[in-house]
Amino acid sequence: MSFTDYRILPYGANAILIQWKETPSKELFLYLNAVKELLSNHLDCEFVLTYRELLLKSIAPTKQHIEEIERCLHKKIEYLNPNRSYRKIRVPVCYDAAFGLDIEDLAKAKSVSVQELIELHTQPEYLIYFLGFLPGFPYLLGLDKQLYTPRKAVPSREVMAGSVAIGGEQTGIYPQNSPGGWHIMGHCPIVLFDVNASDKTLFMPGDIITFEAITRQEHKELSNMPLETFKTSLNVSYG
Amino acid sequence: MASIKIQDKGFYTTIQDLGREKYASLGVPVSGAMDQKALRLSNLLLNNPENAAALECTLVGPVVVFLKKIAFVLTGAQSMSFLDQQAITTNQVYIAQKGQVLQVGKVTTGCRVYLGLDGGIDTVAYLESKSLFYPISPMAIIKTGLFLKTAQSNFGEIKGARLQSKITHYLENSNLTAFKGPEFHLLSSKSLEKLLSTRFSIGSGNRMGTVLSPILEKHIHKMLTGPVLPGTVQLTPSGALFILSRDCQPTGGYPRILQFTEASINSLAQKKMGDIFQIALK
Repeated sequence: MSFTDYRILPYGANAILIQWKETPSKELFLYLNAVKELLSNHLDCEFVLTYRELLLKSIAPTKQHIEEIERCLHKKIEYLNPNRSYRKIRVPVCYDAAFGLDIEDLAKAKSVSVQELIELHTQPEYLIYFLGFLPGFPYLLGLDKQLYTPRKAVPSREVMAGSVAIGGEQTGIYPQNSPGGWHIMGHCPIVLFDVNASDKTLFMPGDIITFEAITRQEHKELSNMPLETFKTSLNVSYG
Repeated sequence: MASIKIQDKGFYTTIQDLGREKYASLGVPVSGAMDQKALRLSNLLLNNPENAAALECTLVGPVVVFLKKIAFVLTGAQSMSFLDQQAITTNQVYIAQKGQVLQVGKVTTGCRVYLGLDGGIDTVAYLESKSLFYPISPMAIIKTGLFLKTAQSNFGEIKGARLQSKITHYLENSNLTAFKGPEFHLLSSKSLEKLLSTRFSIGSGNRMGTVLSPILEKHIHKMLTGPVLPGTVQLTPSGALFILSRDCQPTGGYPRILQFTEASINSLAQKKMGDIFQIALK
């Protein structure tokens, strides 16, 4: 499948944006990454990939550069089979109301039990599409439609690092303390971003994650586990 | 051995170079000097490398004790600053002697003063940049009592640029220029007219971004999270315009209606709350 419905536009004097019309999907994700790979062989710039946009930074939007991009996009672009194997990460989350500050309100609003809400959140496999918002914050694809929830009208002043939350059609984890407008479901005790670690972040685009409900006791035992330790534990697998 | 000691940290003083490129895909902001023109000028005047780090001082600067003889310069905003009793003017290199005290005082024109030191500030680089941004660096601003080293000097009598003009005009530039952003077309005709005819006022802001007043029309356009850049103007659903600054996150979910030119981003870095400007399209 090819994704041909796009436009290329200048973004200021030193960046170029490519926008696709398609709905985000595993396939589009793999296609965009293949496009990025191909373009990086032809143009000297930095890339920022999101759901259906690719930003080329530190490159002037000259006719010559835009034509080069056009030429690349007209090629047949090979990308990986979406059914390939992925790096899989089981992310421990304590959904106890002590951490999931909004979980009871959310269950009430959806007319389901808290347990059902947790099941809806822990069932899917989520694709890490890209990182943004905060250092190491994963944008995920795969939230169950029943859990789509408009953001809070008034954002919380400080959401604790490790909080797992739902906002709009998305779910994610806050790697740092931050103001935030999403509904807090629970808390993950692992350190998710460490500037001194070799990989910096646990999550990389293209990984598959699942949320695994843990008790308060298990949460306590895992508390502040360093990123490197978590990675070498059994929670990361391939398949 | 340290070159300076921070005797008083000032209102909001950070260390900045030109920022960390190449880490947006990890969710890391670019950061770097808010007014890059001023930082570059400071490095030119001291014959420093282009990307050497300086102190970025906001509104009221720090008090600094020199621990050795060293050349320094203030660029960017004009301020009431003194080396011991001697008044210091911007864009001019001075030689401080060991034991002298520099007080970078309150700004008089502009918002941010850059204190450049001969050789550049030599601190640990995090993700290839010395720019402070928490949690990439362990702190966001400098602390009172901090000792700072400088790197190898390249300064000398015949080294360092000499200025032909004052380079202060941009501090008060109130006609700023922006390109159309990716979602420019979402502006209603009423909002567009207002955008180009209104004298906007700087609201509350910081190194991440600044809100403007007055607001434009409310809107209900939704977009998926996409890339943004320093200098991008987002239109929030309430109709408020939000200008992203150097510490902005690399992605955002509000319509991107404008992208300021680099020159305008530097001028914006020198605006204080309540300052007025107009926007022209490029």
